[in-house]
This record gives sequence, C-alpha cells and structure tokens, in this order.
Amino acid sequence: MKGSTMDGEIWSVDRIEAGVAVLEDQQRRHLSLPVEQLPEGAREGDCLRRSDKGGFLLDSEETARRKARARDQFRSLTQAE
Amino acid sequence: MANRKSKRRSNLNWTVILLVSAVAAFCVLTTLEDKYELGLGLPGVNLPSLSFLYDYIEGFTDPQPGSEGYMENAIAVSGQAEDAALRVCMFSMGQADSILIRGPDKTVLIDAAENGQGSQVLRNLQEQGVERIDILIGTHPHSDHIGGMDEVIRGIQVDKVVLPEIPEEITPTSRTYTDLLEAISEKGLRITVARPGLAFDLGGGAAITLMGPLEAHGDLNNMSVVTRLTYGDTAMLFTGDVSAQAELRLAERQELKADVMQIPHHGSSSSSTDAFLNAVSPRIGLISCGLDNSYGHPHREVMERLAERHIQVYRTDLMGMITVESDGEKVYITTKQ
Repeated sequence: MKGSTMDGEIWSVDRIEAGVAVLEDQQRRHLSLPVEQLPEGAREGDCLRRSDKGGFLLDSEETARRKARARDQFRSLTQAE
Repeated sequence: MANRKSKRRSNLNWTVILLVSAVAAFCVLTTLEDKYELGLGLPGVNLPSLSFLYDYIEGFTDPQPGSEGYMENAIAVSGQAEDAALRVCMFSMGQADSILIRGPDKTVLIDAAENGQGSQVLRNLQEQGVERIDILIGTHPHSDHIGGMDEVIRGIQVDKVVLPEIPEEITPTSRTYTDLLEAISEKGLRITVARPGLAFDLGGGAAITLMGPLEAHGDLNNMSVVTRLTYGDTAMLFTGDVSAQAELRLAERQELKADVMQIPHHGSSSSSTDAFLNAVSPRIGLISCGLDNSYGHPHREVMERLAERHIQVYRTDLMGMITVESDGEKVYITTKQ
C-alpha cells in the first residue's frame, strides 16, 4: 500500500531547529521529535511515512509530488512588482 | 580629642557619600531621561563624563518584568506618545511571530503566528482597530510564522501578499503552506515576490523597504524576508528567523541601522551574530518567544551579546504584547500582559 494520499499517514518535516524536528500531517497537527529519530538524510520539506515498526521512512515520491504542486501553485500566483 | 577627630572624619565620610550618591543618582536619571525619554520631567542636563554610571545600573540595561520602576516608566512613555503617527505591535503569540505596523496611511502585518492562532491574530487586529491589511508579509513558510495566515486572509481584507520565493530543493510540502496558497488564490490575490530594495510607502513619510533575502539559501530560516521600517529619524528592523549565513551577507551589503530590532529567530544562538548586531546597532531589541519554550529561546549567548552592547531587551514571553510608537524623532515603548 502506498498510502501517500491517506490523511494522517504522511508527515511533512516543517522545520528542524535546535535538534528538534517538527512534523506536520494533513490535518495540520504537529509532532515534535528529536532529530535523531528522523530517517537518515531527512531534511526540511521531506515527506515521511510511518513504518510498520513505528519509526519513519522517507517518501521521496510524495515529497517530489508535493514540491512540484506547491511550486506550480506559487508560480501561478506570482506577479512582478 | 581622638574621638572628636574620629567623629569629624566619620561625618565627613557620610557627607561625601551622600553628595556622591546624590550626584550619581541625578546623573543616572538625566542620562536615562535623555536616552529613552522616560517622562521623568528632568531638565535636559548632559553629563557625558558620568554616563558610564548608566552601564552599571543593573536592571536597566536588562530590565526585568514586574519591576515597579520599569513598569512605571513604560506607562509614562505611553503617555507621551499621543501624537505618534506610527505604531508597531509585537503580539504575544507564544513561540510564534506576528507583528503589526500601523503607518499614517497604511497597515502591514508581518507573519500571522502558528496553526490554529489565526483567530487570535484577527482578534488582536480588531483590538487595534485594524479593518484592513494593506500588505501582508510572510517572512518564511514555517508554520510558526505563516500558520494563521490563511485564516487572516479569509477573515479580513488583505490587499497585497508578500512572500519569499523558495528554492526548489527546500520548497515546503506542508499542508499549512498549500492552504496559504489556496487562500491567496481563493481571494483573487497575487503574490508579490520579496526582492531586496522593494519599498512600500505607508504615508506621512513612513515606509518599509525589504532588505532580504538577498540570495537563495539552503534552509528556510535564511530565506526570511527582512524588512526595514523608517519614519523620520527613527528606524526599526524586522528579521523573521534569519540566521548567521544570511545575516553576514546582509551586514556586508545592506544599510541596516535601526533604533529597534526584532532579535532574529526568537533569540536563537543560530542568529544575532556580532557582525549583524554591529551593522544594525539597535538600542532596543524585541524578542518574540514562548514562556519556557522547548528550544530554550532566547539563548543565553544571545542575551549576553545584547547585554554587552547595552541593548535594552523586551520579551513577549515575560512582558506580553510589546508596542513601539514613533513620532519620527523618538520611540516609545509599552508592554501589556
């Protein structure tokens, strides 16, 4: 099961500050956890999926999809000043 | 005889102590009055040779909330600012940012706090008599800065939205960010991309100019929109979560001098580098942070750097909402829990 469109299953890394990662789900709920508990190489903007063992896995497909969507949306709304 | 001499010497000592104390107290008060317009009604005596005394008055260089003298002074300042045409409110939003600028003609809101705090921001705006936001600036797309922005856009008239253009590799994937973009689209608004040098007239000689971001950085904090507000002889700088890397570039390339500065990134040690503090040289620093926040903001190193420079610090976690007013010549500060 991909699960990438299921609410609550995918967490986005909103920010990493002072060793604490703040994750956000599709209901905009937050989860703060030590950065050591993130999958290796995870950075701000990455999408994570809960693993069966309770940890998180990088979901690069979902990350790319959401980034492209946000970029397109941003570009469509920009105007020159 | 020896007793009389000793008594005379003792009296002389007390006279000298009293005289020195009186002169010192007078000098301190006049120095403070001159520097911060405390409304003490003292004559404008300038005694620069004794101004070093100011440096040693603990509790003034680093004022503590609840100190009676401090609060009394703050109220007096407020009383003197009736004619101030410019008002800035740093709302107390816990570990999140939201700053209102009310210029003579136009109103700016910088950031709108965290997810779920949009309605609180709207209530704050209502309390301030704001019916319309001319310019809404989202410093950078972390939820503690833009979380309430979609609610604000839907809850009050907004004319212009200014956001930084984020490099592709760090484009946010959060629902908070896409909800903001959807709210902008829904209201038929457009995004003005934050570019250095972009300026907006707020009327009556007040203006804001965007100082940064100057270039693409690899993290969102450093992509923060940095805004300089000028009015008459006074200036204020709003910094978002800008950190060392961007601070150094800004210090090299931009005119940043300001009387009042938002201490970047809630007082984190990732920011407030010596180069940046020297470039801005503020007299007053404002810190937006939550009480007993899990990040330990403001960090001790930053507070030490500010104290070394005699920057007077105001904090939302301890003092509540901070209001700074300017009449174009001086700034006046009050706090409200």
